[in-house]
Amino acid sequence: MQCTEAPRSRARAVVFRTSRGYAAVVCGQVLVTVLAACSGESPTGARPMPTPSVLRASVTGFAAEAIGPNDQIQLAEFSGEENELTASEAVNLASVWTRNYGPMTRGWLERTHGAAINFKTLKTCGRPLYARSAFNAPPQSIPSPFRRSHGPWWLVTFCDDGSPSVSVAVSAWATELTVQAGMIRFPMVSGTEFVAIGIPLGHVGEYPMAPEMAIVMTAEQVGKRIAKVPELVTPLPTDGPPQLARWRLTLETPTMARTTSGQRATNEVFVGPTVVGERNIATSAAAPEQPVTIELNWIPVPHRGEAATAYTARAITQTIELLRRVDTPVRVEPISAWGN
Amino acid sequence: MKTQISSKVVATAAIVMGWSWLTAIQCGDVIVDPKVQDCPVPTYDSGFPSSGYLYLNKPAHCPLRIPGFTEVAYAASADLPAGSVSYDFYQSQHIDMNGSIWAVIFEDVWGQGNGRYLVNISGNYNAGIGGFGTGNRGHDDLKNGFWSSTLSRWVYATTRITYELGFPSNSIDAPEVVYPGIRYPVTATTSDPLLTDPVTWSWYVDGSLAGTTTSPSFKVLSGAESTEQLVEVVATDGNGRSVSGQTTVWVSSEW
Repeated sequence: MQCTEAPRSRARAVVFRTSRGYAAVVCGQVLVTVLAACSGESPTGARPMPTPSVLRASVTGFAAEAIGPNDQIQLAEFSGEENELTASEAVNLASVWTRNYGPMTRGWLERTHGAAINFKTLKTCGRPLYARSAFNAPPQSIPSPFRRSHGPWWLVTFCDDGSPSVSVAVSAWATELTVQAGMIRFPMVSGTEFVAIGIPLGHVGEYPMAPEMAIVMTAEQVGKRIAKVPELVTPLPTDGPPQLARWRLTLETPTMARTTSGQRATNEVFVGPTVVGERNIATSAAAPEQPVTIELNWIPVPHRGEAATAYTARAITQTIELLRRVDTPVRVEPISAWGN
Repeated sequence: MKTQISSKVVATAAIVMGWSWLTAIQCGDVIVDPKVQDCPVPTYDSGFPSSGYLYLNKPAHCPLRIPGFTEVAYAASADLPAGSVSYDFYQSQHIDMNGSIWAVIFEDVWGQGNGRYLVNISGNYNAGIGGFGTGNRGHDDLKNGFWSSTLSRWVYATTRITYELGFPSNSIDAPEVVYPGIRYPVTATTSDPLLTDPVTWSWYVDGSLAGTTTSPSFKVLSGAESTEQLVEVVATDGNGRSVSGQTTVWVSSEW
């Protein structure tokens, strides 16, 4: 599969520092409107989980109604548009993967974590988070591994010795997988079921971010409350793995935001990490230009026992256009300053 | 095992289930028969990723020793730098020695947000599914490919995993004869595809534990003149799986 768009860009978010409690940078130019705060990125690990009172002060409307008795945001149930793994099924698969397959990529996981990982004590911690795609589901006629990139993912956080250290993304469409005798049974045609990365040392809460933390951080930055239940949206595969999903937050009223492409009013922000293995969190707005479609390249799959020569002859790469959901931006720009 | 492939040399790399990021180094116009962990890389295309890191903790060397069809769980991560060529999807075909495909894995190539690419591979490799041939040996070909959007084609590198009938073991590379009272090097090589790092290697000399190492190399203190030393090694992984091997070394000052 190939995800391309015209023009194709792999631009990464520019790093900014928040002025709210962290090393601040001065917003160089005064906006026409009053600056509420410099915003942009802040290390998640520097913040503790918000207290219930702070969380309640940061929400209104549907978001306020979604605070449960455990003082956590009750996130929306997954769409169930097609057969999907439940949260517990995803956690089970992620747990087996982490126990039996994770140690084989120890070097990668430890490098992105930034420290040694104690695989013997790794356990799931926090909630599994559901991240959806910004694109419509690819046709079912396309082989599963090529579809999964643009489907929903469960993000499962694992802690060793009490602190988050590994994030395992499990495709919610990986319904062909089973577990037998401690091994994951893969079908003959498999792939793009798991993505595992280390969680940067010092991170607090679920990865990529606890929704409560995203809410409070944004409300503090903007000076406005969050009005809808947050949802996680995955980036384009070229921009990041499912773990770089961003929390989509709706503000109670629009506010002016300055980004690389200029200043505009927005009531929607996206919050999440931007680089694998790094702790910075970006607060972004939808870019003015969004791809209407992207190209999804795929090839037919072989039959079990098929002669390799015969398969090679018919394995012609094919391309379809995948439509973005009109209500979901996928390109974002970091916000460098807020105004009223 | 972390293999770094320098982009400063003209190199090509192949990702292989289990024994994966194999390098074929081209020295001038001479193509060296490339082997990593003794698994050859017979073919590769130009345009295959030429630098990067592969994280794969499987210490076994070719030929693998298997008592029959053996299912090997494996996972690997590849960290590829940004380059002039974009790689968008990875595939691995498992082709047996009869030329039949038994499994294929397609993994997305993810951006990392910093220009680098990430490939995570998970699967079960069915070693020996094509059976055994002459001399109770056989091989599987792992055809690894990347779809390059820049080149608008797949680029492949194929690695051959050789195997033979038998029980997994360690072989020990040691001198046949050593002088008395010296320390001589010994190196173990495992043929067990089911071992996963971290592996500890326990070294025994004449039945007594002489040391434990986290790499398969050790130095043994030789014994008295005109004696024979029995050197044994037991490799144990984090799951408690262990394989052993032994050899004898003659101690003499007359050789």
